[in-house]
Amino acid sequence: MLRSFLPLALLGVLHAPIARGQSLDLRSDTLVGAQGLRPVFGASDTRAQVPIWELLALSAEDLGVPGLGVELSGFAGVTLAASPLEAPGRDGNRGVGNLTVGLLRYKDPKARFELALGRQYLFAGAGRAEHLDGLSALFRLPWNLELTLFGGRTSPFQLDYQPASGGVPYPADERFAFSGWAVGGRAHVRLLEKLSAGVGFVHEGEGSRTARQVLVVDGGYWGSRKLEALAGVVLDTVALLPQEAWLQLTSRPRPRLKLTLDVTHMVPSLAIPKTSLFSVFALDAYQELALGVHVGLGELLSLGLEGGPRLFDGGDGGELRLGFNAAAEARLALGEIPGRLVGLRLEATGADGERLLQARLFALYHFARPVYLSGETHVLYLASDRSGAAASVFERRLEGSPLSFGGIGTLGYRFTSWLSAQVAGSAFSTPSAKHDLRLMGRLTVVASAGGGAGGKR
Amino acid sequence: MRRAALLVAALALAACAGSGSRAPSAPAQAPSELIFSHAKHGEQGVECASCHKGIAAADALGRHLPTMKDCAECHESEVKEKSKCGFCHRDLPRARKGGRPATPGLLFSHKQHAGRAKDCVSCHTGAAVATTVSGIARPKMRGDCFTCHGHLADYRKLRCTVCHESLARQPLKFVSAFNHEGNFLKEHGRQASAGGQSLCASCHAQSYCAECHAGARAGLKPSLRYAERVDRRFIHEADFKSRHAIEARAASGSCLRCHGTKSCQRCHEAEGVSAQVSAGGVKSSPHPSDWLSPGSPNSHGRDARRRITQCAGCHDQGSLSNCVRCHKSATKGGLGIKPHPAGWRRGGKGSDPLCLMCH
Repeated sequence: MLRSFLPLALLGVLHAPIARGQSLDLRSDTLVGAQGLRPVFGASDTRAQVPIWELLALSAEDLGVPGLGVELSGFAGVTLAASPLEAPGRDGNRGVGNLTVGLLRYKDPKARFELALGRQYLFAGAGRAEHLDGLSALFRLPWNLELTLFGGRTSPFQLDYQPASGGVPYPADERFAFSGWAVGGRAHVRLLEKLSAGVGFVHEGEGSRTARQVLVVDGGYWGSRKLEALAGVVLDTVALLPQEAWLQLTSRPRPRLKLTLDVTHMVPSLAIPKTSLFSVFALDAYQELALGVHVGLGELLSLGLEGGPRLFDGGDGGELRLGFNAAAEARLALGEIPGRLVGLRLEATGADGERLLQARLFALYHFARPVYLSGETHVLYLASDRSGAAASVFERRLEGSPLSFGGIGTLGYRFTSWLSAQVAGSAFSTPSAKHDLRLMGRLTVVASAGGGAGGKR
Repeated sequence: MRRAALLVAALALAACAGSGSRAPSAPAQAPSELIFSHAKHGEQGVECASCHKGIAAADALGRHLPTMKDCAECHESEVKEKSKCGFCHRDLPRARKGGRPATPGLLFSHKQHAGRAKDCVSCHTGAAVATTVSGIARPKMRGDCFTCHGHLADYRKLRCTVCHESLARQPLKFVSAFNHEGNFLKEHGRQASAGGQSLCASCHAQSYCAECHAGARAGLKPSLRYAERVDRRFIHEADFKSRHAIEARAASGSCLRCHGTKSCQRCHEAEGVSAQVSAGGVKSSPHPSDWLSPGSPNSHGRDARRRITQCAGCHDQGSLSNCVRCHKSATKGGLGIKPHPAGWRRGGKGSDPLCLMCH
């Protein structure tokens, strides 16, 4: 519960220096919804809920001292329900909230270093972003060399995992306890504005045990519009095996043509924390090859095709499993005024005996007056080779209703440059929920002062 | 004409600035209090550099603005007689306060551009007709900078700092205005890594990352929070609940890039898709009925080899994990079915809690 009020508490503490700051950007979204859905798979009753959310993002710079700034992003919400759900992890009338970003940053006026303290994201080239409560330091050294060092308590991706007592098949003292921390760093150099090379290292722990330890080597080439290349490998330095390796090539041989090739090799189980029982089970690899072609036909029409095969090693003599993903998209701008477009996306995915096909038609129109409309419709077709007793509960449900369809519509009004309101509604009929109806109202305030001008988004 | 235009150009840069106490890149400026017509001075044949001394040789955007001493070269009586202040100044208190406009935070050499551009009006397009200080129009990035040389390529490659000292206070841009077209969503993580920490931070605050990447229980899916942004591709849009099982089977590694191995469990328990936990009086296993039958087409062993990350999503529950019940060694009361991959080497210490679960 303390975390729920952390954004507001931090905002209160920092109110005075923020008010004195030379630049300020603020975005506040207040949402009130009403939804009628079947929250439990297979249940017959429909539950009505009223979620209320406040989401806040704020950044301010030069807080009395040049280069000293703050970034905050957080949310608080409560879901009102006539009959609160009893399932663990579900919120009935309880409030939730959290601080997703809350950092104090100092940038050296001569841009030689930056320090950030608090909850932050780090892009240290370690395969994925780190989200931690701690300290990071970025040093810009001669020869275009950047050195990043960081350490702190990790903010786990699975923080939700707080099983309530009574519904959990294992005693509380056996449950997964998370006390994660991470230290690491990255050295990154840019050569002639064409080449980059980086080496990163991350050690994550849970208590006194190692959860993850990787060494990442990556490189990039941006020297020509005809060829951009990114390549890297994440080496698990505990198992001494490559966890992930990738090559990504991009070419823009003509101004409105983009070609991409993406090759990935991954061993998913190596991504599981070493503290997990499942980290000792299998080392099967996963490969993906994806090709993409995106082309602009004239000023208004753009087309895209992308996709490729996915392959899982059989392992232990098992057969290979082949999957695929393919998508096609077309967008047509309705004139040269931004904010007016229609688009269509078709996507097909194949997995182990299952397939889905999705069509998404979407449109956005900003009127000359400060009114905007947007809408989208979705049709999803799901199919499985398995049926009867061999099928999972979801696959059995698909036998009767393989289609999911619905749409979302929004109407927005921009009162001023800093205040806008929106109402949105959606209705879906899906195999999992059958009927899902939602309405939402949103009030957005965007404030800038001292040259913030909407700032970074 | 050329000189007049140069003058106008230099004045325009100066006019764009605000008070000297502001940070150097602040773009929002109050209108000038000066009464000044660039057009009229140009018609009189006043060369730009006559007032903006040193501008043609300037390698940086300095304050090459005329002083009153410069004005006095032509307007001597107006400058010297206090009763004629209003000839140039419409707001005397503000004028007395002084302060020179800040530079607009650009890395720019008039010296280099003077030799390449046809004349000052090539960039300062309003110079010849401007009847105010600020009416000469600052060069526009798209309309002016991009038309002459390689800055368009810089822009598309996100090399913003070739021209901009800092992007911290630039106004909002469409994401697609930069190089975010096509399959950018899929590519952006690796680009962010390879580009270093400064790359994304050039334009985006961390709150922007948090909208999708917040592990600490994001309040709303981005596709709901920004329902009007149909031009964006959100991963979990629309009826993702129906899609997610197939998506996960198709590429379980992709889920792991953002989600921890337990994020599945919360929903499955809450929605009753669990054989052990009921919600709303409903409980049902997501697995086929022959899931636990060795040798059957849907035996869990084969799937566990292929998608161990998905197993971990729900079943990684410590020593009472339902896997351990069967897979632990016979001496501990299990069936002794070894789950280790071929070539498995026992690593670490024998006292490792993971080993002790089964052995």
